[in-house]
Amino acid sequence: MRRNSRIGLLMSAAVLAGLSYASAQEKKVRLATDGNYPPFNFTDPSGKVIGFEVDLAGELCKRAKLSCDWVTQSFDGMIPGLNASRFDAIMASLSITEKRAESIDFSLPYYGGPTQFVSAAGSAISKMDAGKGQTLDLREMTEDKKKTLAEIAKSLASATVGVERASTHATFMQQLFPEVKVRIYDKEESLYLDLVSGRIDMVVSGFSPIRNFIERQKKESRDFVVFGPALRGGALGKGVALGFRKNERELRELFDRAIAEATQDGTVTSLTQKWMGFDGAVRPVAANP
Amino acid sequence: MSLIDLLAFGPGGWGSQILRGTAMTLLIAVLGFLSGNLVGMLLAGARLTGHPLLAWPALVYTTVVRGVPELLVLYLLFFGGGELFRLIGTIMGYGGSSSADAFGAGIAAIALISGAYSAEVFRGAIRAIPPGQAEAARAFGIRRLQLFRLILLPQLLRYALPSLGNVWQLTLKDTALISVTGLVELMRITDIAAGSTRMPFLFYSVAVLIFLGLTGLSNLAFERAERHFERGTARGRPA
Repeated sequence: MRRNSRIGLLMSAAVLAGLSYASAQEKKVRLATDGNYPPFNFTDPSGKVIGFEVDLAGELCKRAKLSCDWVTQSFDGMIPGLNASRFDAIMASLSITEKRAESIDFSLPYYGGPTQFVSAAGSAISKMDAGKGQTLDLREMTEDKKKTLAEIAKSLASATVGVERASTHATFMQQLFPEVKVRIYDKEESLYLDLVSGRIDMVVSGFSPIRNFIERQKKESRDFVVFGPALRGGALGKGVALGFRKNERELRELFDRAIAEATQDGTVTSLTQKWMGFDGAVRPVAANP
Repeated sequence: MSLIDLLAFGPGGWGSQILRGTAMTLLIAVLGFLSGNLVGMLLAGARLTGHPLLAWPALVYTTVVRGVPELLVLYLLFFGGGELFRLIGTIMGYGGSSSADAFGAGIAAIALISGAYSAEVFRGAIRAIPPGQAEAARAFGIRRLQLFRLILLPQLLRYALPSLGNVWQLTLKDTALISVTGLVELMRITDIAAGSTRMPFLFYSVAVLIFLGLTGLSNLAFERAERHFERGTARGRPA
């Protein structure tokens, strides 16, 4: 008797669950972000998450007919959190790396900005000539590029370089300039605080955070400049993408289609223009295996 | 925007967010500390029975939890125990929502860590009470529960309170670790505000002041409690 009533309860629960699923026309997706990385994702004083990725997610979810919610949590626990199903996707300025691809799947990249060097204006290192004004794509190595990189390595020999822990920039420094003294920081903020205080000579980071930093320093009448080459590809990754659990192919493909569409019709271009002041769309749109 | 505006409570200011974070920190710390004391009492009791099946697991527990970084315990519970917490959450009707289990996992982690420390405090306090008192009480026919409530507990608290104050401070500071779980407490809201406004110095300084304020106030409370439980003694000795 007892057993029967329990089965009955389970059945009605299942029916109810089915009903509520059917009544929700749009599938619910929980996106995780950090909420403290302007202009990609940050928080306004009322606690609302805003930024480029929030705008873009709105566009992508509309195209994919999904109802998306934000979960904010610190970047540290994000990949384990995804795999523990605390949310369904990561959209937190997450660069595509092979290491990360071992534990999660990536969507197509929706943003790709160049990596740059920044230091105090007038510092010895900022006057370096090697690679000046060039854009080096590290995907295919030519003899010319190797020569330029060797010159850069020589110029950096006496400098202390700051990078963020576990970032593509850290890997890049390790792989291409293993001889150069690198200091690794847990947080982007402390990285720049040390650059301002002169504890490090230069920082390797993305276009957008560097631009932010320079503008802010200008307000306090301190001058910092970008120098040397702009770099992309190779160890610097394929760009920024959403992260998914390995078994969520269907969901990932929904986002892939939406990203391809938004890139081709210029939505990504206008959103990156709005938030960063340059076109950060990744073209040509490739197929995601 | 001036510094005052940034910390104001109105729109455009982070004041109310920070206040809410502080309340969450206090809530987790108090709940974690209280349930930690319960855990600690049980562990201390288990060790004092001397029964190998009870004493050994308790010894292993206090040794391991006190011996590894708190963050590791939290990761283990939060990411390792995620399935377990979601299951509990679903049974309790939370539907496995991520905020509910971040809260639950947070308090559980704080309680388990805090309990490992307070267990040692209680064990020391119980052993400081002369066993002759319990023997005398039993000779008068006082029942076990009464013995604990009327004779052991008041004295135990007198011995334990100074060290418990210490455990409380540790617990209060451990709440900062919960920020990795996505629960928005003081540390996490400070992090968010510092990153979003790109003014880390301001917001971290505010967090320092709030934490110092909380520990300062709780120190006062513990001092008063100590005086209360010492009222039957003169200069720390039985009157």
